[in-house]
Amino acid sequence: MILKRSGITTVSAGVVSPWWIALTGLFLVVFFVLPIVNNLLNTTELATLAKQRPISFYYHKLFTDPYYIRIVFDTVALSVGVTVICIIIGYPVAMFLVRHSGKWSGFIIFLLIAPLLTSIIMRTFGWRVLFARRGLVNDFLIWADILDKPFMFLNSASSAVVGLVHVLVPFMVLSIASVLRSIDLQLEESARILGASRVKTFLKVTFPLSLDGIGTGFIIVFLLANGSFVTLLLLGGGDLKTLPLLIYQQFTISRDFQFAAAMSNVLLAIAVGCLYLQLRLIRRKGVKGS
Amino acid sequence: MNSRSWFRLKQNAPKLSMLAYMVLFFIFLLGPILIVVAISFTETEYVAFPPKGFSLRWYERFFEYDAFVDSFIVSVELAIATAVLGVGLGVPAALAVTRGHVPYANTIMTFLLSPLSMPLIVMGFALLFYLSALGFGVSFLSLLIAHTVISLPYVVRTVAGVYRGISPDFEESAAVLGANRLQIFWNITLPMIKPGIFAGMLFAMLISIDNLPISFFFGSADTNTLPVVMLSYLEHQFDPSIAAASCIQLIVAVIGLFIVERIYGLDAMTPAT
Amino acid sequence: MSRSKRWIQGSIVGSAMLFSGAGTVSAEEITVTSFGGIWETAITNCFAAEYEKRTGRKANVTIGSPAQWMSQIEANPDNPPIDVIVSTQSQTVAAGEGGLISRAGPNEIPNLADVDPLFIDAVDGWGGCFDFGSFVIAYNKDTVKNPPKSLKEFMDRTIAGDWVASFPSITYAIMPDIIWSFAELYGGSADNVDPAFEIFKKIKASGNAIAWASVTDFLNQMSTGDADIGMYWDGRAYSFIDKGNDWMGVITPTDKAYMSCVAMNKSKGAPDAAWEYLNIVFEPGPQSCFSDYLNYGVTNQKVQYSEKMKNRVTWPKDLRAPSTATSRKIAENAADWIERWNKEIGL
Repeated sequence: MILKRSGITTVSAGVVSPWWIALTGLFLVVFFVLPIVNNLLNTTELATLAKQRPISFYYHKLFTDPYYIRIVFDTVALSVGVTVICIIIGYPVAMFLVRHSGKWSGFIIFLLIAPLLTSIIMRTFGWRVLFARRGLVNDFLIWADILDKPFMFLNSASSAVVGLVHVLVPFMVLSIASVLRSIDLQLEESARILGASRVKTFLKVTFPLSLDGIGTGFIIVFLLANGSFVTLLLLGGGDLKTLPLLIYQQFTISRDFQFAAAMSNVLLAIAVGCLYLQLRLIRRKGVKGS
Repeated sequence: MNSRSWFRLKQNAPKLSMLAYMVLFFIFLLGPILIVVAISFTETEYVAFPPKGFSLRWYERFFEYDAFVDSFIVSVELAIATAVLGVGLGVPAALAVTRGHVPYANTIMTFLLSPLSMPLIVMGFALLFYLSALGFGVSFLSLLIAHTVISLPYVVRTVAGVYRGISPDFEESAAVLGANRLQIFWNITLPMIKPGIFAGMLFAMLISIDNLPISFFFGSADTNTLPVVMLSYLEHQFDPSIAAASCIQLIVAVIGLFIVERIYGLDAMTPAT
Repeated sequence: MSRSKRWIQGSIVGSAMLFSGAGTVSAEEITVTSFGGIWETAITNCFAAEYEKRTGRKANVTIGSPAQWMSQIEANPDNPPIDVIVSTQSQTVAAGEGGLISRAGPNEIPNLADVDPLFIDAVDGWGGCFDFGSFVIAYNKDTVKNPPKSLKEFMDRTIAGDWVASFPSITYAIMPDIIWSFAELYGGSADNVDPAFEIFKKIKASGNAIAWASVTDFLNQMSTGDADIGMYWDGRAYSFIDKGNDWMGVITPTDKAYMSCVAMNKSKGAPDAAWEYLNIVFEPGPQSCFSDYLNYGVTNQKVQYSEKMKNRVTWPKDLRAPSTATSRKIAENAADWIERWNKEIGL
C-alpha cells in the first residue's frame, strides 16, 4: 500500500513512532486475547445442570445437522443482507450530506447521530408499536388498499431486518461520508472537463475512491449485525434464529456453556473471515489507487 | 459555497428528488424515536400510542427512582472515559500502522480490529472471569477496560480510513522543510485527521453508552449502566417510565452534541470539501 | 522479553490491588438482589427496610438477572460482589451444586421451618422459595366473550381459530418448565415430552398463535390488540388489572396451572449478616407485604393474606409443581428441548 511508495522518500518512520503500536497491542493482548484464551480453558467448571458433553460433540452437530447448518447460513445471510441494504440506503444519504447539504450538514449529522443516543431497547420498542397488528404501519397499508387484513410484521424476519437496518445505517452513512469528504473535488471536475458524463464520473472516479468508506462501513455494520441479539430477540421473535440468539439462550436458559463456546467460536470464525477478506480488498485497492 | 448549493437545490429536479429521499430517510430514522418521545408524555399507567392526555409523571418517576439516575450517571461517565482512553490508545497506533513502515502492517491492523469480531456476550463473560481473577472485580475500572477494548477498533478504523485518504506529500514536504516529528504531527497530521478522531470518539461513546451484553456482566449497585437497569426494569414492569428514561438520555445527549457543535462543529467530523 | 513480561505482570497486579479496594462496601453493609421495577420497590420496602430497621445496617439492593449474578459470584468466589442472590428453581439447584451458595435450613434461617415443604423440595433443599406464581390464562374481555375454563379448552379453541393467542417464546427463561407442564397435561412426563411438542405443533400450524419474549411484551400485545388471550403469570395480570385495565380477565384453569417459584440464597463467600436478611425474607409479615406489592403467593404458611390477595392466590395443591427429581430432569434436558423446539415449533 501507500507505505511502499512513500517509503522511498522522506519521513522515514512515519509521523508517529511505531512503538505506539506495541502499547496498544499490549493492551489488547492483556485485556482481549488472554481473557478469551482463559475463557476457552475454563468453560467446563461452571455451575450448571446441563448434560456435560465434549465440545467436539457440538462442533459435529453444528457442521452436520442441517438445522444448524441452516442457522449458520442464516446468520451470515442476515449480516450480509443488512449490510447491503445499509449501503444502498446509506450511500445517497452520505452523498447528499457531503455534496449538497451545505450549511445544513451539521444538522443532518446531528439527526443521524441522535437516534444512536437513545437506547436500543427503546428504539426496538418504537418499532414494535409501529408494526403492531393494529399499529400505524398496518393501518396505513390497509387504508392505502395494499393489504386487506393486518400483516403480522412482528416476530418475523422482516421486522428484525428493518430494526437492524434502522440501528446500523447511521454507522454506514458516517463511514462513507468521512471518506467522501476527503476526495479531491478536482478529480471529479477534471473528469467532467474531459467530457465524462455525470454518471460516468461517478462510476469511474467518485465511487471507486469512496470504496474505502464503504469498506469501513461494511466491516462495522457486518460485525455489529453478526453479533446482535437484542434487536432479534425483541423484534424477530422465534422466526429468525441466528448464532448470537442461540448463544444467548444457552447463557440464560439452559446454561449449556460448551455449546455456547462452540457456537461463539464459529461466530468468531465468520467474523474474522469477513475482517480478513475486507482487509485484502482494501490492500488491493490501495496498491491500485496509489 | 453553502448558499450556492442551497440555491441550486431549488432549481434542480434530480436534487429535489434527492431531497425527497432524504426526507423519507429521516422519517424512517426518526419515526420510531418520535413515537417513544410521544409515549413518554402519556397520562396512562401503561404504554399507549397515541398517548392519552399529557403528563410529566413518568419523568418524575425517573428522577424519583434512584436506580435510573445513578446508572445514567455511570453510563455518561463511562462513555466519556471510554472515548478518551480509546482515542489515546487508538489514534497513535492507527497512524503508525497506516504509514509507519512497520513490518506486517496488515496483520497488525487485523489484530487491532479483531475485538470487533468477538460476539459481545462471550467477551463480557470472558472478561468478567479474567478481570476478577486479576483482582479488578466488578468495578468501574473493569467496565472501562471492557468498553475500551470493544470501542478501540472503531477509533482505529475511522482514523486509519481518513489518514489513508490523505496524501503523504504534506507530511513529506514538512519533513523536507526540516520540521521534526512532533511538529509534523501537531501542525500537519492532527488537523487533517481531526475528523477521523472526532468520528472515532463519537463511535466509541455510542458503542459504550448503548452496550448491553458486556455491561450486563459487570452490573452491580455502583456499576449498573442505564441499559442494564432499563432491561431489568422492562422485563419486570410495564410502564412508560422506560420511554421517559430514553428521552432523558436523548435530551442529555442532544445537549452534549449541541455543545460539541458550538465549539467544534459537527460538520468538522468530515473535512470540508 | 521475560523480564518485561514480569514487569507487566507486576504492574497489572499492582494496579489491580490499588483499585480492588475501591469497589467493595464496608463489612457492615450487605448487597442483596432484585429484579427491576415493582419487584425492586417491594424488596426494598418489605425486606431491605425491615433489615435496616432491625439491625441498623444497610442492605443495598442491586437489580439485574440471576444469570448475571451467578456469573459474578462464580468469578469472585472469595469476595462475591453480591451477598444474597435471587434465582429461579433450576438456577438455584445449579448454583447450589456448583458451590456458589451456602446450604440453608432452619438452623441458619429459622423461619424456613414454617415454609410449606413443597417450596423446600422445589429447590432440592437449597434454602427455599419465598414467593410463587401460577401460569394462568389472561384474556381481553372485550374480544373474548366466552373464555375457556381449562388449558385443554384453551389450546383446542386456539387451534380452532376462536382468537389470537400469545404464548411465551423459547427465549423466555421458564420455557423448559412450561414444556414439561404441557407434556404432563397431555399424558407425558419429563421423560416423554412428545405430547407437549405435538400440541404446540398444531398450535403453530393453526397460525393463530404469536409469542411474547418478555413479560412486558405480553401486556403490550394485549393492549395493542395483537393478542386476545394468552398464557401469563397471575400476579402480573392482577397488577395490570389493578392499574385500571378492567378489560383484562384472569382464568385459573381447572386442569392445574403450572407453578413456578423464586428462591433467595446467601452466596458462599458472603458474611453471616446475610442470614439475618434471609430470615426476614421468610417471615410472615414481610412476606405478606411483598405479596401485596406483586400479587403473588408467598410461602410461609403462617402468612395472613390481605383481603385482596385472599381471592387471588391459588393454593399450591391446585397447581402443577415439578418435584425435585422432575426439576432436575428439566434442567438436564433443557438444552435438548430448546433445540427441538427451535427445530419443530419455532414459536
